[in-house]
Amino acid sequence: MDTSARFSTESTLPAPVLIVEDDPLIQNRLERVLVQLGYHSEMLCCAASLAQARQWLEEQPVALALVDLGLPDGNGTALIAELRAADPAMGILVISAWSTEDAIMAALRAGATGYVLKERDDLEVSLSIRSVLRGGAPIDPFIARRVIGELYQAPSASGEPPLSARESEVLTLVAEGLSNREIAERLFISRYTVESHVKHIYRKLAVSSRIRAISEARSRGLLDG
Amino acid sequence: MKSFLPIWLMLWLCVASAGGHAQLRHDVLDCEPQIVSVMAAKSEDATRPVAGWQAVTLPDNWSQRWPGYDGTVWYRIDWQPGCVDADNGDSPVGLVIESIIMAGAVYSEGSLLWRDRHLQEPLSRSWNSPRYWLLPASHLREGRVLWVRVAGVAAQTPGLGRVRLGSPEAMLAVMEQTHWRTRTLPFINLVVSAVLGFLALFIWLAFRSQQVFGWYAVTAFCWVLFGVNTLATQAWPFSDTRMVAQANTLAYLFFIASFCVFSWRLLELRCAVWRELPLLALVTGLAGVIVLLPGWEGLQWAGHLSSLVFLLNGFCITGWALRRREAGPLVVAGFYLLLIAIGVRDVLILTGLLSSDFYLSQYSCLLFMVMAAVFLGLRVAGDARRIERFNQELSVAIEKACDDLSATMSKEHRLALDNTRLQERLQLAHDLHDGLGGQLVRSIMVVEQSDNDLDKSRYLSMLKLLRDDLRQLVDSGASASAAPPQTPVEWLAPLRYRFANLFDALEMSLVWNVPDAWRAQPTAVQCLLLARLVEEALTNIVKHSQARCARVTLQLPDDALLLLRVEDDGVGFDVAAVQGGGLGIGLESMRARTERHGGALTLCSQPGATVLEVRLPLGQS
Repeated sequence: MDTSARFSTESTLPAPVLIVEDDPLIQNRLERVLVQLGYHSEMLCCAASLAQARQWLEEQPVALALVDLGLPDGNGTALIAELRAADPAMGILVISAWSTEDAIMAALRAGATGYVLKERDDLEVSLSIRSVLRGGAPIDPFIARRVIGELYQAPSASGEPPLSARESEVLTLVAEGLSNREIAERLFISRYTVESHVKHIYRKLAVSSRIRAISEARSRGLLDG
Repeated sequence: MKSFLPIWLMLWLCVASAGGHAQLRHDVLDCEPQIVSVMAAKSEDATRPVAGWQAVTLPDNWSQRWPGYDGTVWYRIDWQPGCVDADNGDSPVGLVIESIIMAGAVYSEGSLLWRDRHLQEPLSRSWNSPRYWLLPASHLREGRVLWVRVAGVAAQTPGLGRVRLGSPEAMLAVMEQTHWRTRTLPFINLVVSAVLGFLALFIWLAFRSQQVFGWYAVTAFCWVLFGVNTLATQAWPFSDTRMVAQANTLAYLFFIASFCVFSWRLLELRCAVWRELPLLALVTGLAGVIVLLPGWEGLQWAGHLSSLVFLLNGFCITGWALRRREAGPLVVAGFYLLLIAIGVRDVLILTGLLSSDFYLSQYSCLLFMVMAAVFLGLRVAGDARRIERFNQELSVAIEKACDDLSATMSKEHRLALDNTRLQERLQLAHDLHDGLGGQLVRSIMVVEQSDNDLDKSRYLSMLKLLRDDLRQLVDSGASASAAPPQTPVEWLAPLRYRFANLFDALEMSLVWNVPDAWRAQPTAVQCLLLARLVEEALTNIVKHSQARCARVTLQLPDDALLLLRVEDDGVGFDVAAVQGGGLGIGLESMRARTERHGGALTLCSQPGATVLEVRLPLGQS
């Protein structure tokens, strides 16, 4: 029973999970939330600094990462970028405390797939994590508005519009504050399709930020051509 | 007294150019025709007299010989031809008469060579007109006597000017020289004076406060009127010689007076009125004398006094300029002295102490006028330069003032910024005190006043309320200066997203009824308050109501009112009973805040229907 439960858990939940958080209280809280979601404590590994996290990652890759932005030896955004470069498909959640929109946007551009506010109740934190575990990408109205603004500003290499028509529709509804279920009902599609659209949008956001970086670099003469 | 008379005469009549020369030069070559004798005789009936001939020398002034004689005098001039030319024995002879004072007629032997238009009053005026004739050879054979009939008045140095005989070429040259001296130069003098006068007049007309130009014009015009006498050949428009003399003396008087005033104004002497008023009185008196007194005495005395005034003024100005020791006055005084020196020179010529044919006095005024024009021009240029400099200084001053102003303004701006920052800090402190502090105090009192130990959930709910309030404080601090949300949808989107996902997860339904646009825009602070209210109400529903369905309704019934209603179909609660409990802490806090914003919060609950309603007036915070 125990074994089969463990097996089933391991087969459905991405593991191991790396928690990069320097505050032990919050670390414990996240562990508790994850355990409530079905994880065993041995599937979780905690790092209190970027250095510890990188040391851990050298030993074995992780399937899911929860990264705090303000760490004693640096900003978590760098780590997020490294993780995303190593594995384009893994879930990365930003753990943010009173953070500004700009910091969250920077993390999303680096490759994060969602964010959790520390101050929220356990219920909301666990909802965010569950959404990522399901393969979704939680997206906030404020993020949606920023994405709409940024993607339409960014230069498109192929000349195609940066977002498909359906993605634009989803983004607009997100910006109005509708939940994924409501969007699905509104557009007569499944919740999973909605989440898939959101993930595409995130990917484009990361790409567009790279394109922007390249064009910025060209305009400053750092790159040829 | 005798010394003043020639000055006046010189200035007034330029007599010297016509007469006053005491000595006849003996520069005639033996071969030239020569005047043998000159005789004069009075003629009561204007016919050629038979007796009473007296030998005279030319130029002749008969008033010295026959004082007070007005009438006609005949001159007989006998002459002999020069040596006979071997080839051409009968060569013609040139005759020049430099002046006839006043009118006359010239006969060679028996035949009339020439005569003035009027030999009776009003007499023609030949006193400054040299004339030239070619005596034909036929005349020379018949006789060598010239007869000149002269009509004049005693007071005007009547007589005959110099008479010269010689070869036609030599006489033509003498004629041209004399004509240039006696007619052309005075003409140029008057034209230049008139032009300068008109120039000054128009400057004064355009710029009335520059009275010195006005006086310059008056002086120039008086001088022209006075000088016209030298060129006039007829008495017209006057009816006799005395009236001409009256008019001329008046012009001279006015010229002297205006010249004095002009020089005072030019030098900007102080207390000008104390000089000008007496001068005006003197001029009026002299003009009365000239116009009203019969005879010639009054005229002469008025002329002498005018000259005296001129002389005295010259010395006064010189003395004053020497005291001032400034360039301008010294130059003016120098010119004044030059005028006086020229006058003295001409007097000496007139009295025979110097020998010259050329008198400078008639040009001295012109000289002074030109000097004054240069002086005025320099002064105008100086003024223009001063204005230019002033403009420069002004623009520099304006620039500095602008800099100062912008510095002051930027300083004020900085102060305003500092003040705003301070205000924000105060506002934050105020919010902390009113919101978080009040909440904290309330929570402490709840714990203190509870008889038995509170359970964990009560503590938690109190702390979470504090946390949410703090979050709002942070948000409001970040967005205090930001514009309020454009639409209600945009405003509620973050809340809606958060609770929609929460309600989804709990399998509860949440319905939002929100208008698409504001009717009246609430302030950013009001939006934050309302958002906090919705958050608190929905949190309570999630935690306590066990509802299946909740509804958030925003209504804008008119421009000044906002209506927010949060309903649920949960178990409900006893409104009065929860006042002191943990649940009540949040709601009471919300009610207090709503009331601080001028709104009202009502809550009614029964099983299956709990309604929280907020009425918030817009347009005030």
